[in-house]
Amino acid sequence: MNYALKYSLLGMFFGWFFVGAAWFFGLHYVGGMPTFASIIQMHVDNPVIGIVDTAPIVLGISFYFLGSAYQTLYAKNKESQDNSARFNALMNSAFDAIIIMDQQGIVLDISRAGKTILGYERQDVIGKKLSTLVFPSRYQGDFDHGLNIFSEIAESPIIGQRVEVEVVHRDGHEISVEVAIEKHRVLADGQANSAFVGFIHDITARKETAAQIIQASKLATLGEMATSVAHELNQPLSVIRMAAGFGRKKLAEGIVDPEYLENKLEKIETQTLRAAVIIDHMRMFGRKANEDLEAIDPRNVILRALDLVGGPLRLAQIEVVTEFAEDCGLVLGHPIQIEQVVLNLIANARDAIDERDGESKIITLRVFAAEQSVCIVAEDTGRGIPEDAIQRIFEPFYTTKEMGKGTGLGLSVSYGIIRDMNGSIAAENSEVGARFTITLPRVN
Amino acid sequence: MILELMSEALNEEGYQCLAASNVDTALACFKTTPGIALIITDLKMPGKSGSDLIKAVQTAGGDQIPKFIVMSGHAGPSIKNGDIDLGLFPFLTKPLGIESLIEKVRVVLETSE
Repeated sequence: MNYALKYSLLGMFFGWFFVGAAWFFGLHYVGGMPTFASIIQMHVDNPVIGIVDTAPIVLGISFYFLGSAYQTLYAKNKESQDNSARFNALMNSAFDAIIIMDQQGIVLDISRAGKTILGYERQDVIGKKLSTLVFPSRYQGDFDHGLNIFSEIAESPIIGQRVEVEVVHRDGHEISVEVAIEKHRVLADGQANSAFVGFIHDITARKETAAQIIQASKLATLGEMATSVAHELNQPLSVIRMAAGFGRKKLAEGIVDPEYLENKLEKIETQTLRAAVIIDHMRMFGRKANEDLEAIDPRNVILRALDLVGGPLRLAQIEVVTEFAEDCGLVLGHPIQIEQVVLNLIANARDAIDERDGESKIITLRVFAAEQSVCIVAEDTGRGIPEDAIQRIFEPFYTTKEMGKGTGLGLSVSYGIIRDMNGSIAAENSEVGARFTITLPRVN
Repeated sequence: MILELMSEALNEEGYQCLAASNVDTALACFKTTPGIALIITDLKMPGKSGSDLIKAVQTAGGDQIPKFIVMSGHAGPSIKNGDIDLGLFPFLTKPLGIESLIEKVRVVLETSE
């Protein structure tokens, strides 16, 4: 809509109104038929008529400028209205809590999802310091520190990063979120100021799903292990039953030889312990790992895993070689989860060796330190990884095993566990089979 | 350890026992020692299995084929292994009880073909 043209036409219309009025009052009357010369003469004689008759042009032009000025204003206003509508659309529809803060971290505005994620109404948050509102006390220092550093040196560890943290919902329970904070200039009270825009993305559901998948794959591994563990348990149980039987038989025969009985009881004791270790391990492995991160010696993890599956491997005539560096350093993580990864690699190695059924049946487990990291390497003499599978091997539900044998979860879950420990896991083929290398950051 | 205890139990009953911890040792024992009347074998063993042992003994034994007892942690001898139906053999369930072992050995040795 062109206001300049419209206004111009309106101005001309008003102009003609003046001309008409002049005509009506007879200003133009000169007597007789007007001729071209008489009309010119009339305008020269009477300047008022001259002015009145130019009114349509003069008013048309002035109104044109008026209109175009209005046009500019209108456009600006329209743009600001549009922007404001778009801003509202963004703030009302975003799934994430979008928070605009000033330099002190005081909330200027928050998107509607803030209520869903954090439980606070908009008006409850505006004007308050975000950090004290939603961050658990253990993070508050870090957050404020981050903003402070920023105002001093214009750089901060939390600006421009995606960080996973816990925040406190209004009702007091903690939720896992991903926070991203970026610096931006905004207008506050008409003044341009640098401020912070924060995005809070709720990842509680994702975390729960991840935990469930870990649990599911663990149960699958447990199920797989159950058969071999049952066999494993029967060995100590057989010894216990026999030894106890001997004792009872001797007593029934009236022969009480303390040394003999002691020998049998000792056997029972050691075998009970052996059985208990196996059972305890199964139980530990089955429960959800919620414990805190701890410094772990990867060598112990491997030894514990071998406690569990060493027997079945011997049965399958697979030789396990361990090559541990004297001083390999510690890594930070959940012991049960790393053990799950190791067990999974061993199980895969065993299956690969089974499938190849070649002469040499060896699983080599290595632990060594490399610069700032610790490496765990699992190598086998199995059939290797098909070339087209290497790219996809860590994908969930991808399996190269035959139907009903693999869940396709083991390696993808392992991948997730190692990634959460800030490490990496890689698969490749060696000259003799497959090789998996886990690299984890070393801690002191 | 289970071998040791089983031998002890059977020795006390007056049987003469040879213990072998895998199929190959057992086969060697069988070939060098004439007059073996009964072989008690586990089904699952490192390397070759109990059914492998039975087959090998049946081929190597000629007219001197001993009796067999198989033992396993599985509830029953439902496993068919190759051309051998393990269900045909007397069966011991693990964990072994002393009396059931002795009783089974006695019954099997006393039963004539």
